[in-house]
Amino acid sequence: MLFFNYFNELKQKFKIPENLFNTYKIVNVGGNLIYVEEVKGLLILSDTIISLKLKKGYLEVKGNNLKIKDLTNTTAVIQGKIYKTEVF
Amino acid sequence: MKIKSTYKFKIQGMNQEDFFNKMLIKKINITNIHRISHNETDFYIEQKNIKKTKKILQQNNIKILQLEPQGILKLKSLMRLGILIGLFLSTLFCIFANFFILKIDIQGINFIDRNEILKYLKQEKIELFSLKSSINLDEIELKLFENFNYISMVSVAQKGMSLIINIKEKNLTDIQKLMTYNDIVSDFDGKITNIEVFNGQTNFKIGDLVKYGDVLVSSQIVDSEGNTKNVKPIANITADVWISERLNFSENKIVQEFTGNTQVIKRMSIWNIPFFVSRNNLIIFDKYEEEHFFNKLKNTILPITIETRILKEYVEKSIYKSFESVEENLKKECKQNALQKLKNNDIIKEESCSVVNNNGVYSICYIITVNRKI
Repeated sequence: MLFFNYFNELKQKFKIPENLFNTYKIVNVGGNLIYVEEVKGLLILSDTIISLKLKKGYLEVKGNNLKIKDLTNTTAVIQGKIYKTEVF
Repeated sequence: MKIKSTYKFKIQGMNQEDFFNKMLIKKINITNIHRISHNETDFYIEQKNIKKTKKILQQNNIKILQLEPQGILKLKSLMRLGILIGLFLSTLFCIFANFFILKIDIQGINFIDRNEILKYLKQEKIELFSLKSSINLDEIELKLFENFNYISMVSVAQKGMSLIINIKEKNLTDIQKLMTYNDIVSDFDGKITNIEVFNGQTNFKIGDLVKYGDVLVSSQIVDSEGNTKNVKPIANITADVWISERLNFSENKIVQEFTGNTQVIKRMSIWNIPFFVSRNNLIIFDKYEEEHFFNKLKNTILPITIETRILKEYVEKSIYKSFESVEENLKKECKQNALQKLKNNDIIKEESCSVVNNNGVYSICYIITVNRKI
């Protein structure tokens, strides 16, 4: 289970202006792991596509052997071989 | 093995995304969501959320294919029972052990030997695994104080499973007064080559001859006020020690030779009252050796004892053996016996052998002179 908020820590540590965080908050780790904040719901779940509803927009992750490592009411961690990430 | 308990769900049904969204609304955290096929998914949730999850699954018409506990709950019931029994037994042991002394801690001793105190406590039936309730602390305090002269104050306490004995020893001068020292006594015959006395009193000087049992350094000294004091004698003494070994040899020896004539006398008795003697008319030999046996019969009602005496006749013969034929062997034997008396680090200075003849009886004396630090 995740007990931290990556972007909040980033904001506090480097004093980044608030307006920079108005859009999506996604971290892609080497195409193997994606950390997403402000998750509002799950739209599509399969081992090749995972689609999430965000606070502002949608995220679609395409890849292989995808699975959601962790899903809470605000964050999600997607693991697998990630080929494409789309935010719209 | 994770201590925290989680459950693995394997579900089957349509519109599973809707189910997960409902889970998010209910703030139920889900981990390791993996879509196995188009209508099958597995995921993990915490134990506390099981009821809620089941309810949501039911609302969404999703079937539970598998519900498997993880972590410590994964252990089979027998194993869980084993753990519970283990915990119960260890708790029981802890409670049980609380009744006994498991450690004896003696503090504040410098002069008194710890083992001496432990030995004394053992005599008083206080040792490891003694029952706490059987120990009278005041009594031990008193006994320790009475039995050990060097103790000025003692306190005994029980703390947990330990028996703590706190000792305050008497000061150094008091202890020295109580201590008695022995003299340094000679355990050899020899001649002193060097003597340096640091503490104590001596009557010997370099070149003096000493005998076994002589007091080399006395522990009693007379101080300037004329009082006799007992001090620890300390001295550095080196001496030439004479180690001697003596063997006697007689050229004419008398040996016993058995003739083969024997007489056996048997005597049977009940309660020491004889009722049968095998032979009354004995032929008494001039010289004989006697063997005596007692045998109690076991398989009889009355206590019958059989006493057997065997007399073996022998004659004495005189044998002559010249000293010259065995002289070398005897000298070697004598030397070996003398060498066995040497201590480690003895330095041999001189060796001598003397032979004295007294009417056919030869006496061989082998003397080894060594330089020894006493």
